[in-house]
Amino acid sequence: VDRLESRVHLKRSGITGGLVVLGLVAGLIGLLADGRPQMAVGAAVLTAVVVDALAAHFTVASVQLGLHGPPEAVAGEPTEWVLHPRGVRRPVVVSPAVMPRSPRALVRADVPALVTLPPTPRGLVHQVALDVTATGPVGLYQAGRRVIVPLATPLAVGPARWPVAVEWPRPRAVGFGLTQGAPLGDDLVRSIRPYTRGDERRRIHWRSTAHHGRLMVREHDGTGVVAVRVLVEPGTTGPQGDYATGMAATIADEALARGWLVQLVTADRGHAGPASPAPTNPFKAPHPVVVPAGPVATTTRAERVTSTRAVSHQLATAAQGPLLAPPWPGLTCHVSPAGVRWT
Amino acid sequence: MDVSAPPQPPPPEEAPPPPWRAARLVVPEADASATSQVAVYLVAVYAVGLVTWAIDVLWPGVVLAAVLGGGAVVAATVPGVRRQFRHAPGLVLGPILAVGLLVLLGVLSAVTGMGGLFGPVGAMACLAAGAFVVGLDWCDVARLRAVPVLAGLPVVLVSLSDQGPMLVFSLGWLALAVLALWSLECDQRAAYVDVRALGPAATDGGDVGSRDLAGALLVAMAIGLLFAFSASMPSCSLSLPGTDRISLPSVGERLDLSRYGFRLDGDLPEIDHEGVPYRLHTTPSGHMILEDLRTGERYPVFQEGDLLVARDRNGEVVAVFRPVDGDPPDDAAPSEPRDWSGPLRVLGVLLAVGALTALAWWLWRRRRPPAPPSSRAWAEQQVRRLDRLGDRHGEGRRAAETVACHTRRLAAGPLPDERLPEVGRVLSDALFGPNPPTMATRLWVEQVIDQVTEAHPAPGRRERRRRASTTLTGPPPSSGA
Repeated sequence: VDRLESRVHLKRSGITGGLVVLGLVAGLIGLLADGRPQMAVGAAVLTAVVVDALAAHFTVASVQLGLHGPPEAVAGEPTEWVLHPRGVRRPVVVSPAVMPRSPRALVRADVPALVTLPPTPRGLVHQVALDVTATGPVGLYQAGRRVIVPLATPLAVGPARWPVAVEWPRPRAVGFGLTQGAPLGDDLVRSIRPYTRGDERRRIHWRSTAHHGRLMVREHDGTGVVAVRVLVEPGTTGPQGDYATGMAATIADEALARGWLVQLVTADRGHAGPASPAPTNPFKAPHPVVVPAGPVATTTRAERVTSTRAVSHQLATAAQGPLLAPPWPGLTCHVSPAGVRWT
Repeated sequence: MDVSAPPQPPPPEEAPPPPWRAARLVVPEADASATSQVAVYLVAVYAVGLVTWAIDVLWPGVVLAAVLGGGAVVAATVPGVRRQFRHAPGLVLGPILAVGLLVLLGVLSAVTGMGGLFGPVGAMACLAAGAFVVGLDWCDVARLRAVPVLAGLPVVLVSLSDQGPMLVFSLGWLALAVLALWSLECDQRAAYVDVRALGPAATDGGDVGSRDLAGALLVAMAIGLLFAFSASMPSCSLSLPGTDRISLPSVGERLDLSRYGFRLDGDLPEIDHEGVPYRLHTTPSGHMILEDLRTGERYPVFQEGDLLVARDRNGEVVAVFRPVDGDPPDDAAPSEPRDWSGPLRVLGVLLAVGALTALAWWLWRRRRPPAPPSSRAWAEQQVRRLDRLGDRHGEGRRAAETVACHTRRLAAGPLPDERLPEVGRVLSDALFGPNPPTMATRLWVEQVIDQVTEAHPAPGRRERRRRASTTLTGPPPSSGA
């Protein structure tokens, strides 16, 4: 993975200016009055400042960072990454170049370590910018360098699951197939479980009831396939879009848990990564690391999802746009900021 | 088949807070360890001690050191003292208090005619009060870092007095200052969160600071000494011919060789001591060497009290030169007026440098364009404008009310402008969103707020009273009711 690194920038601490002035004044007095103590103090102070700056500079210049991230992330939640530092001679501080400033972790040695990166909004993370800073022995100067680590595979930041009370429609099978939880037929007895309110009386398993001393019911697997299509219209970006996509993710996950066939239809603006900006001064503005979903999408993604990770990946880049999908024989669920609508 | 979900709650207000500790989002504010506090205290006491030693009155230094230490102990033992210094450091409040008390004491003594009030004891009490306040704020690393630097100024000034081993004293301050700054820097590093290592951590990680300190100290002092001695070296010759006064590091211009009977008519001072002719040489480093003109042997000469003593390599005394008159001339002679030309020249140069620095700083600040406000700062400024606008119309933003809700309420109430909800959305995005608004968007928002402010001037007192009475009494009942 190629890395982009800025040059090493130096930043004075609050007392450095005063110390330099003190050294200059002492040296000047020593030169004018031919005083050896003043000259010694002035030269030593200025040397200490220079040594401190050089130590900080070379500490940062020698550090190389590698980063391995999680396979997926959730918007608004921090993520754990594995940091591989190399060339750490003295303690360096590593922090993500984002705003607000996130926790700064101290790295003392070339040992892989876990670091926590701050929450990101929904979207794709193509690169991670890290600020590496170090101070000199007495803290007069702080040296910093911004390191950008492009990710080989963009990290999809999916929406946080939003709890939604859905009135599930009566499922209907759209085809034949052995699917766990399919509604048709009583061909396969999956398990026996205690009776709960709402269970049909005809599913009571009397032999197990007599054995356990309480009502037990059968659970069956049928041979029909239930399919549901989730059409997602996030609306505007920001909290509204996160709300809609979070509801869609919850519905899709629950449908997957029921063993249904789930197709997720979203408007997507594509996966092309942005042109990586050059790394800048770590002591100034942060570096953009997340590409949020654009306001207008251009393509329609209608894909069958089989896991929660696939749901998150597709919803990470979902945006508002025209949904052009082929006819669907199964259930259809429209999710928008206004709510959930079944057809 | 249409099955609609029940109405959903609005998302932003009820979103669960992410497990993210906001307190860690800033650079950690480190507390100084006991070692650092003691080190900084030693630097401060060292400077105070040097000053009092230079003025030859030691008791003020002892009092100030004790009071400063007492304040630091109180700050370390009494909880809650630090909270009093959240807005201003003790290093600022202490001197202000001392100066204020001194002025008050002077005024009181002038008004009441009791000159004894403004005596040394009164002034010392004022200074002690200031030192105590300084000691009360002796915990924060960022604030304690200024103490070693401030302590350097009196050390440099005292070193001008040219009494005693000032080189050792000055380098002693430097060593203490570097030690204190290094200790504070270690405390600052300790305030950071260590990464969770996935493997065995380095075993020698704790020695990094010691290596830092030793390296910095050695390099700084070596270069300082080298520069000092090389810069003050007058020449590379072995002697200084034609001089009647020899400069030594410790005695300067005060050693008059004619007092000891040396003849100064030749190139080098000569003397006949107990029938043996001697000649006095001076090394480049300022040491005196006595040469036996008969044998050519050379002996180093030391000033021991008022005597010049020549010793061989075994330390045996070869010759002792006493002042011819036998009386110490400095004490017996009438005191000469001190030559103030040197310090005044230095002071003038310092004032000129300071004035030039201040002028350059002022010009730089004047020419530097104002920094563009960041997105958040701009948004906060506009939100404050909206808050003031709402307050003038009796619809101020309530506690925990979002900007978007406030603008919607304003648009539905006293400021009927359909653009206001969009302004609230833009400001909310600018405050909490990932992307800053463009300059065009900023201008549009400011323009909308300006137009709304102009279109809806603040109601007068009578109007506000009428609105308040309407709000309190409710709408008038309809005639049909």
